[in-house]
Amino acid sequence: MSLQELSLYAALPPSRVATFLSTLSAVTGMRAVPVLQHHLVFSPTPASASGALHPAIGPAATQLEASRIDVHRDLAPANGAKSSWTLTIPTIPESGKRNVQVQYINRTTFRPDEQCVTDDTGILFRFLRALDYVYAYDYLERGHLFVYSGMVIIKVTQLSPQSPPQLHEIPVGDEDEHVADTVAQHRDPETAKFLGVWVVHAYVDILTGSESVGDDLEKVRIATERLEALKAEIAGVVELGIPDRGILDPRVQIRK
Amino acid sequence: MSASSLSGDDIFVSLEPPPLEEDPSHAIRSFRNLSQIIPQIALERGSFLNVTEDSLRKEIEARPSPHDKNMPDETPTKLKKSATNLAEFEEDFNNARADLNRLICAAQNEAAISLDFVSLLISSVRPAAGTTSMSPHLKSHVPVGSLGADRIKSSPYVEDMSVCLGWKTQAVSAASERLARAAERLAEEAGLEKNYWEQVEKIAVSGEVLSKMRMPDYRGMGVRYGFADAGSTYKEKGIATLRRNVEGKLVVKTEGERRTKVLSVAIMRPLHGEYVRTGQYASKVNYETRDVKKEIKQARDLLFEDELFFEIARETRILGSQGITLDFGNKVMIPLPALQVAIETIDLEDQDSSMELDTGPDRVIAEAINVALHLLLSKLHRKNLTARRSIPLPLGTRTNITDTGKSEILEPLVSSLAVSPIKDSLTTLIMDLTSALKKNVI
Repeated sequence: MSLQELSLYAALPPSRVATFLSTLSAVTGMRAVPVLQHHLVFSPTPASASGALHPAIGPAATQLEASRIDVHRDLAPANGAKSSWTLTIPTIPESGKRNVQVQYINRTTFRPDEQCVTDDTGILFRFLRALDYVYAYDYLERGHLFVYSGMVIIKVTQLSPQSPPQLHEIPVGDEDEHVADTVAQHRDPETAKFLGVWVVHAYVDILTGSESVGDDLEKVRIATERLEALKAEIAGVVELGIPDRGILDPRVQIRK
Repeated sequence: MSASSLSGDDIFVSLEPPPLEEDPSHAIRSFRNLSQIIPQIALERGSFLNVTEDSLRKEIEARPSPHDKNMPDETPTKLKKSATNLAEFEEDFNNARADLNRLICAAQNEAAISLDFVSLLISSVRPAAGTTSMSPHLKSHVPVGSLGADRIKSSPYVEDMSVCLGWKTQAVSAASERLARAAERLAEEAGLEKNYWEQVEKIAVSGEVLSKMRMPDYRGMGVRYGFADAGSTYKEKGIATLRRNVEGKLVVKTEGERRTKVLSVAIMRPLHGEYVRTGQYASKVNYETRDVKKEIKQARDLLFEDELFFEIARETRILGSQGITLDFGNKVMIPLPALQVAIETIDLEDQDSSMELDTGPDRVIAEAINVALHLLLSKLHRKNLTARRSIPLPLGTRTNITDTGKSEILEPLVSSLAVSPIKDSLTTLIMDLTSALKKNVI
């Protein structure tokens, strides 16, 4: 599925999260839905290098990410099935002066009954190994989710340093006080420095390609309007904006 | 000028007194410049053309010397007396002339000073006109326009304090009366406001959703009694304003016309070729205007009834293939095996008292259908709310069924009502067939 993701970001200190969640509840008309998203990051091997990030740096390729989101029963599918693993192939966000960030993403959803990540022989690992990608690290993103105006998805999440024993268990309660203690225990030092910060990610996905219906420009216009309306509505509590596109660049240098 | 040149007919008077060399007491030095002597001589002797050396010599020789004491005095006595008188006259004349000269100089000085004074006064009003007549000495010592003048009234004005005090007292009294009246009005207004806000507080405590209203003709408190937060997508959002009347009482004013219709379900069975009503049930809504909380509840109930019939009427178009019709825009007829169900809205005042007394089985069916319709609308609200809060699909995703094309209220009801008779008739048919087959086999 080819998607065009229009998004806005913001960062929050832990002390302001409670106020912001109350504000979002009033704005969206729904309670905060706890979510837990498990991300597995796969890095390319030298064999999969294509193109070059920069001639002086060396060959590079896009990192792939597989993730699965577990939500509270209110948002879970009615048949009780667990959510599926999704493979995401992102691109670097579009450059230029815009009101919202635009990023093209390809997503593929695995069948829910597939054994994807039970072990190294799961279909996900085998599939990516065939593409010359190897497992690099994983991390958890836990927080809350809102839906604004039936279109905009708002995730208020922070990186969690610990992997829960069961993926479908959603931690309950505020564990911010444990974050500082476990920063050093995180596997990936690059991600560890962002522990404790809450990230607000408001986005709208637009289906592109032959599968989509409707005028693309009109869909982009509607999505941009909704995001700007949300930004105006919560202005003063948090300022949504566009981060530096280099932060979301999925390309990495190949280490030989 | 010598005395001998004087004659009775020609008297030449000079304002300048003659020099008095013999009298050293005269400290006045007589300065007689040529410009003064020549005109005098011209007056006395005529033009200088007639003056020669010989005539001047003769004149000098003819003048008696003052040092010649031996000259005999050949003047006669009468002439002596007239000469003495003439000398006195001359002295008097000279004195008078000196006085006159002095007075004229003084007058000239005074006139100059007056001119300077007036010029300085004028220069304060019209500097150009004043400076032209001012003397250079004054101009160099006194600034132009530094002297002013004004009229002085003949008598100073004495203020009458009694009038002033009278006016002040009247003004203070009027102000105090106005303040007292304003205080009374404010106290009354505060009482009315307090009463209003106490009633608003009661509504807020009872769980109603209050919000600030900004409408073209009203800005104040309002109450949301609709079902938008519950998932309703009805056009009427259910917003009422909480206004205060002149007596301080809270008045609930709903938007649009006041609703008075409730849903009524009637069961009709065929009798002698025509369908006759055999049971009816209408939703019960108490019509209350005295209590604000009950008024809001009544508005909410009537809005629900309105939305319910709107949804039923909309779904009638979807289920037209099953024979469901909308007669005259306000009556839905659902044909079922052995009976018909009529759904319509009736006024609260039109509720027939006979409906209350009806206790037949069809009334129970009508009541059950009425309650089921209400429950199905609530279920639809819940479904809309869940859909609104669920993670949306990407924009542009093709969906198979549109929201406006599905029947959520009538179809489940009609299906459940129609299943039993159809099942019965099917069972009967199968039983008949099996019994007939059994007989043939035996």
